[in-house]
Amino acid sequence: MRLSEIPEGFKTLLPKEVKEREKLVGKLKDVVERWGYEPILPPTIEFLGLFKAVDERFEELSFKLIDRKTGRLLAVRPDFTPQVARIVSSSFKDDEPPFRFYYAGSVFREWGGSRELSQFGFELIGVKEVEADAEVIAVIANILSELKVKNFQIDIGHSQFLEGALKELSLADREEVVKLLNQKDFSGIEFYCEERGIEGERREKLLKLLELYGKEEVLFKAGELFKNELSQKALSELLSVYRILKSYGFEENVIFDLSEKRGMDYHKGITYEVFHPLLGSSLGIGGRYDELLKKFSRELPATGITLNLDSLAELLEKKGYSQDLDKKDFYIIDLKEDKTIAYLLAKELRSRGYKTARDILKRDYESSVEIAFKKGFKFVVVLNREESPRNLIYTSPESSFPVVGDPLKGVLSLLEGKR
Amino acid sequence: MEITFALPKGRLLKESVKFLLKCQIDAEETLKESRKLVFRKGGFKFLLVKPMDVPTYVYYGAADVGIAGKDVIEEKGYELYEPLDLGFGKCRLSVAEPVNIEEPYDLEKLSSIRVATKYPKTTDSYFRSKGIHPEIIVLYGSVELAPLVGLSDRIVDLVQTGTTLRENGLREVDVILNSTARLVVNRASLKTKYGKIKPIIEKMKEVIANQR
Repeated sequence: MRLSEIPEGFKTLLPKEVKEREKLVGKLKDVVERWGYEPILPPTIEFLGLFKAVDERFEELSFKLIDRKTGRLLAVRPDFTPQVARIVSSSFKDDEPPFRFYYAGSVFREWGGSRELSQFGFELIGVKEVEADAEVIAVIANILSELKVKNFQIDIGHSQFLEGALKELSLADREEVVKLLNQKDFSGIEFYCEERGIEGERREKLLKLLELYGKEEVLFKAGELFKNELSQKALSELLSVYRILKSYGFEENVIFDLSEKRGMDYHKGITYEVFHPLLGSSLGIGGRYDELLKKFSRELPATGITLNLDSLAELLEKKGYSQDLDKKDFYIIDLKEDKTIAYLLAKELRSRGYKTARDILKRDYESSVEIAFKKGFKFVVVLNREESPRNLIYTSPESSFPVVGDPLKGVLSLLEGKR
Repeated sequence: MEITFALPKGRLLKESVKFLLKCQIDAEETLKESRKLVFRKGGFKFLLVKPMDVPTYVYYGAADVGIAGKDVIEEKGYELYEPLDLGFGKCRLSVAEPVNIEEPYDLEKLSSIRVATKYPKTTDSYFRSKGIHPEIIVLYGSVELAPLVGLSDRIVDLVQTGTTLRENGLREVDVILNSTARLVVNRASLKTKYGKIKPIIEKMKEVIANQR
């Protein structure tokens, strides 16, 4: 094994990316804090049982270790939401809801692709009315407009609508049907019906169920098709959410999909997923999980969403949004053996709040100048040249001005002159 | 907003173009002999890619929609919408072995199997689901050669008519998967370009229904 080898699915962020990421998280925090959400930081490791209790899939998905103190299995956090639920039901058991929490950090999953996912999420716990779902969606819309992302779509579904529809159709091999519906496999559904002799109205309804995605008219079509109580209740919830979102002016950014089952097992009720045309995968996913807190003996309705920060960063990069986040101010090249002047100048500039770095590599200074501009420095100062003028300040690789007299004073006066 | 199609070079291309034409989508230029890989016509962009790469282009959103064989979709295993079976490009992903093999294929008796294939994932999960340990030799072409030169006992490959197998002294002994060409759609594309993509799917559905 070479020491430079790294395991599959884990990556390093380099300075530019880290800065952009921090800035991005900073913006997200600003927005959710304005909506009254408070930070929470759950531990990286918990008992596996916590996660397994809410969704069996976490047993396979989690990185596991054995707790030497208890002999029980531990999981490296595969999901934040169950942790937040646990914390609310223990640390806040005497507090009055609602609770609004947000978090930022990594979740780890044993699967193909990225095994460390960088997430930002927020949860609204204790409100059963659809206003809570509308709030979460509105916060997302708020975040995206703050990031100047316009063409996003929030895809809204409802697990209980689908549940009701599937029960009404009383289909065998439920899991297979859910898979076919999730893949929007029209031909697959036709074949499924043919194989099992499903005909007439049941077949028609199942095929129409697959088509229940699109703008708000989908809600009315769905209401005509599935009259069972569970589905009807779900539809009236969706309609109320839609009305609220419309009053916020987001109706253009909302699309419905009633035939897909999304999210984790604990998501029961309205679910939402965020898409953008420039990105092949979703930016985030979330929804209602009213049943989840019950597992921790605290019956509280809840809803929330997690954004995938890697996807969000990729989108922002594609849109060229992040470019000026990375500007650095001064790069100082001192050609003399004794670098005292460069040191003092850098110190002075830093104390005035300028981001300043020094060239400490030995190479010809023209290429240093070029590299400095490539790395995003705004100015390059060259000190102690052999020819005259001795000191120069570059404002681009091509243009420079002489710095007269004391370098610091010269640089500062040039800066003021430029402004 | 332009809609990008990923089309598979080779076996499925001609029928894909023919099918698209029936749906009023003109991709005929892709059939002309040239080295060009990107074509534009009538508000569509067409990418000509290797069949195995179609799901990849669509999954990552480099193309909104694509046409790919079910065999390739299964092998890649990406999360994609695959709304329609287009009906053409029928073939099977099958296990084949030399006609004169000493111990003929018998799933009940095998505990391990050595196979050469272009479909390592599908092959691996098929045999493991039957409790058989597969030793897989991944090849990128002329898979039929492997048993003839003792590289593997058997192969897993696409079979259309069986002629290639017969010509190489092989016979088909098991079918892993029946395949036809499918329409695949990127999830985000369907949600964000719904107004453009849904009508395409509807039109295709109509064409398929008329063909029956």
